[in-house]
Amino acid sequence: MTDVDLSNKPGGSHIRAQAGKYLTFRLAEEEYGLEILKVQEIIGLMAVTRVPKMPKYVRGIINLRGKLIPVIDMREKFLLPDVEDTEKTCVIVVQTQTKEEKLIMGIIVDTVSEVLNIGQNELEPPPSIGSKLDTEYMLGIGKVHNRVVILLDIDNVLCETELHLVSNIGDKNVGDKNVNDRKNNELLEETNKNEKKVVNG
Amino acid sequence: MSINDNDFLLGLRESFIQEVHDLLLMISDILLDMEKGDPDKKHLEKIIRFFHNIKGSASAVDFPHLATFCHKVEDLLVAIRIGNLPMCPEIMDLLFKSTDELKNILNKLNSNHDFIPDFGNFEIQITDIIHKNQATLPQAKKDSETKIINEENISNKNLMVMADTEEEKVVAICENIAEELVFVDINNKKSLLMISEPLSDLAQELTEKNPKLSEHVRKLQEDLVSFIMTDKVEEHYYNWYKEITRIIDTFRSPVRTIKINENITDVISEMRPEEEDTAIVFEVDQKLLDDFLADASEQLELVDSNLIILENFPDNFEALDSVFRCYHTIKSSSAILQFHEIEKLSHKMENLLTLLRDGKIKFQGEVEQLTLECFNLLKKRVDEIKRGQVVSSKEIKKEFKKIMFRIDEHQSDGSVKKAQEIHNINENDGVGTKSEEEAGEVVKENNINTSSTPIDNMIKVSIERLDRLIDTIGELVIAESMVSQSPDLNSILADSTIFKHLGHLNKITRSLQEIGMSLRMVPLKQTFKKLIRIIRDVSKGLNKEVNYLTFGEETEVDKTVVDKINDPLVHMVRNSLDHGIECNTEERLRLGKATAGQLEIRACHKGGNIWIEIKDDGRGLDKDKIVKKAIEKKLIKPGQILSEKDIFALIFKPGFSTAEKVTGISGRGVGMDVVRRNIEELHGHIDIESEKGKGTTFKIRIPNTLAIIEGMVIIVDKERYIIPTQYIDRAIKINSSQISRPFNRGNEMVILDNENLPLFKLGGFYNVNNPMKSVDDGIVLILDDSGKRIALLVDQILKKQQFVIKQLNSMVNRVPGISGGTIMSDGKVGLILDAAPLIQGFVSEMDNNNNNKHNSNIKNEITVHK
Repeated sequence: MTDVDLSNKPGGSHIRAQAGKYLTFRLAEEEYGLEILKVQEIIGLMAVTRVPKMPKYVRGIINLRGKLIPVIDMREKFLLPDVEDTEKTCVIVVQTQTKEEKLIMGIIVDTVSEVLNIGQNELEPPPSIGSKLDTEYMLGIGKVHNRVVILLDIDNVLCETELHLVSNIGDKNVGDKNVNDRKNNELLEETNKNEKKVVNG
Repeated sequence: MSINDNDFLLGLRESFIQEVHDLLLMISDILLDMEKGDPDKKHLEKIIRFFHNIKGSASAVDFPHLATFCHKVEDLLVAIRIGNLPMCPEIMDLLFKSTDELKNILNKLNSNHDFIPDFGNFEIQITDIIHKNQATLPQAKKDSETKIINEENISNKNLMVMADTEEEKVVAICENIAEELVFVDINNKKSLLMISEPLSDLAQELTEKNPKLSEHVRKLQEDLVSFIMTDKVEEHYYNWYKEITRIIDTFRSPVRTIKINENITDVISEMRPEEEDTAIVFEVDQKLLDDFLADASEQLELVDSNLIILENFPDNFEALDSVFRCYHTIKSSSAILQFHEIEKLSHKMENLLTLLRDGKIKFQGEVEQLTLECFNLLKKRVDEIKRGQVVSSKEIKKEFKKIMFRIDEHQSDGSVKKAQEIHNINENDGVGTKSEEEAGEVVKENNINTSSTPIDNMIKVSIERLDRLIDTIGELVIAESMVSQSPDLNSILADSTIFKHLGHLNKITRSLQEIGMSLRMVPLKQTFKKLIRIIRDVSKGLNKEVNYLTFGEETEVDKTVVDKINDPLVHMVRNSLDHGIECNTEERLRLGKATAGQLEIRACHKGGNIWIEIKDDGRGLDKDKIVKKAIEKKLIKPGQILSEKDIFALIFKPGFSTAEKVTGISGRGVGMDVVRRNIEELHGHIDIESEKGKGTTFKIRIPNTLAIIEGMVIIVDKERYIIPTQYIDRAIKINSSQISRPFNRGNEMVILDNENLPLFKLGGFYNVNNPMKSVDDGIVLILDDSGKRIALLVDQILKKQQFVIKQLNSMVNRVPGISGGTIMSDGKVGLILDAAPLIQGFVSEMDNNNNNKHNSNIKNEITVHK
């Protein structure tokens, strides 16, 4: 396979990221980057009101100066292990663009690092073979001074979240479930597991 | 350039659509007045003017179909004005329908500018009416004509009257043509020729009566045609204008001496009695005037800034377009208020600007001077109006005339000789010191501008900004209460000035909050106007004579409420007319009522709510009939005892109608159901008072705003929710002995004294961390959504309070039972529950439980609840 072939493949491993400024944040052991233009502001974690019947990664709603915006727990979203919120936990308020509308949402991350300038020659494509996580959620990978920054396509990450919700709310048994990129048969198993969790908890 | 042109047209079209929309509203107002039997000719003239305006603008923005249609309507109206056509209900209907049709077309054009409307049907109808009536009238008309001719012989004075009307006709037609010439596509010979047609018609008409005038008119028409056939329409335009003036002058000369060189505008304005102008202007709605002034000042400011650009960059087309647009706006708005000078001057400026745009002349020297002078003059005049001088002063009038003449002169392709001549004439008039005067005026004007700032008392703001302001005020209120209720204050001495300051702060925040809320309020006026229109149409359709009265149309309501209240009100009015008012007048007379039915619509504020009352003096609700019908429809059981209120409430049930047969207006039993639904959506309430034979009154109570609800804060585990109080019937404590679980399934029931209700546990439904163990610990709310009742178990009830409703982001707005969010007094988010979807959600879960007994989820849930 040549490079050209790969870039023609939709969702293939071509670099969608563009050189420029990225806001980087940490989540578990990895460092991630967001296009700076998507970021509205960074705020400390404030009281979040839980919204019932939502998947676990929707932490709830916060009051951002009079606007109610949903906040997404990125650890839950990426199926990373839970941790307690710390002093450094914060909310990055992002403006996302779905097909129909612009949404303002908050994402909860472990800690915000810095604004990084990534040049064209420091960009690399995501792995060519991988799950949806690798291909659709990633714009590319930035390699700056031996650091690896995973550049997120936040529109896809959050927009997919929303689509998934819409299709599931009509479903009868939406509880607190983590159903992300699993196929349908896996989905059922997962549902049962989670429900047991609810009972135990 | 072409893109620029497109944008320009688009902008014009948008403002055109808005403008026509406003005009149409005014037209239907006037039509209603006329129908009431107000014989005033002024009304008719106003409408003609409006339609004429629409026509002119429509062709300017290239909506030719619209223009032709307006032209037809104008024909009809003119026929009425000159007495060729008697005003009859048929015509009235046609006029109403025409305005409706225009409105429809506008809406369509708004979304799609390329939409081609089809007025064929209307145009045929109008032509039919004109012809039919003309056929019946000629005899009478001829009689009057001969009479006039006889009188003409008797005295000179009568001759003048006679000449006046005919000349006015000529002038009116010429004026019309002149205007159309500006708008029409110069390259389209066919449409140009069409313009000249009225002249030949007129010539025909005048052959017998006034051969001399007829001849002139004919010549004029021939000239027009001949110059149209040449390729230099623009060049001939001015000459032709002069020709009209000359003709008119010849006719005027025996009566009044008019200087030959004065231009047509003067002639026209002098021929109109000036008193009429002022009379109408004084009648003008103050609000309209304010709007106009605000708008005009804004536009002039724009012109000013763009003229500065043009001075430096004469080829800047964007600035030129902008100036053009401004003058166009000023023209149409001044036309509505009949500031003729402004209208005419703006029109002239438009002509001049067209030449500039087409590159025929350059923005320099005399043209530049003229443009600036014209702008200054307009500004002066607008300031004059602002000071309350509705009628322009003599000097200003003179200046207007002069400047218009000069512009015309320029348009005639700058024949230097003529310009010279005019200058001479001006000097002969003794206004040689004009330029000095002008300079003086400008200085004075600047003074005026700086000294009288509070002139612009209107401003348009986008809803989004407004919402942001209101949000911020909300935040301020919370922040303020956090400070003033801070426990840290306890350590401060009670006589500290800080408490005084805090009190002051509190007062300011409250008033700021009030102002914030009032910004969204609009009067009910428009809604009422629509209702009046419906009363008119429906009563016509039903052949019932109905008088209507409205009170309190100035009552202010939140914008969102106004949008939603319209439908239910329409349904109720239709119902009152159809079912309420008796069909035959004898029945009414027998009951001692006037033959004409009476319908009253009132609105007022009372205790944070708006009350709207629709009252008819018809036959009233027939309780027996309603009960009978309800039993027939199986809505109630025979023998059931119902209070008067219960019986009346039956008419809101879906499918209920006492009408014997379904008509176009009502009878399907849908209307009142819609009314109830809509009113409930607005968190409102509806009451009926009725007495058989005397009439019915519907009383609607709606909260002032949709943005605020009164709600009960409830607590489940550690979470807070808000339930609108309108759904809460009562709250009671129950114990486990009152719970029954039929068939031993998940669905529980509360056994109360007089009813058994399904029990829903909010904690379980929303999967809280620690759902309540026993019903004894909690409290039960009885929720009522129009008859559907449930018992809702919650942990605690906290307090009743007012909440500002906030929309939820589309990501989280589909949770069953949650209709919105709000910000609680501590700044945190609270979720608002809506009873209807909540009940719906519970019911579907209940079904779910029954249908999927094998589902492990359910079994587990039951164990959890145990």
